[in-house]
Amino acid sequence: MDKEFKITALCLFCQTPLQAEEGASFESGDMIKCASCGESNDYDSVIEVAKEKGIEKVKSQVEAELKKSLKGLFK
Amino acid sequence: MDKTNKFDEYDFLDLFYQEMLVQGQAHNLIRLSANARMVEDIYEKTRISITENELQQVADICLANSWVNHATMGSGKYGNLQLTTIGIGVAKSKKKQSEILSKKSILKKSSDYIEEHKGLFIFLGFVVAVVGLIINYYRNNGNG
Repeated sequence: MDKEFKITALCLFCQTPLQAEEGASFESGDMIKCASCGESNDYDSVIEVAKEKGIEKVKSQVEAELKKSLKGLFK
Repeated sequence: MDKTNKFDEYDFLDLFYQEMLVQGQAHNLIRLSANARMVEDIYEKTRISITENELQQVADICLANSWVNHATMGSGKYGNLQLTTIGIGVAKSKKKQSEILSKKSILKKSSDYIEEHKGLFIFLGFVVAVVGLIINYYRNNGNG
């Protein structure tokens, strides 16, 4: 399995994708302002949510792959 | 909780966050129920009066946004609620926002206010200019 996953960082308040100005970079402890709702998001929390989503995606992909290979075993 | 008169969804999330800190446990281990007991706790801690029905309306907002979910089945709609990862993120973001706001000086606060409402200030400037022109016009016509 060699797949690439893309996770979009979403605003915690309104769930729209967070967009930073060009060249802007963030680090732990920073706040990211949502262009849509204007709320400031804690950078670490946004990353935590994105990580959780990434793990869920990988899990479901692994499950699907396992199902495929197990089906092949009993043919 | 920085508000004195209204208990909102962010205050509700903050109850879970405070409980995490008190018990020293992660968000997925803290369970609270939006019931009469919570109404009493809120009054004891914050002196905010809220009815059970109002509290459950606030809980509905949090459930709808997936900020809290049910930790167990069969405990009713408002029983055994726990913070989700998004919910803890919202609670932390709100806490940081208020911390940053309280650290700002009055000058910085007013500067930020002007920056955020620059459209309104441009409009007010325009209105003042138009009123000035009208007064000037009538004054000149009155004299001439």
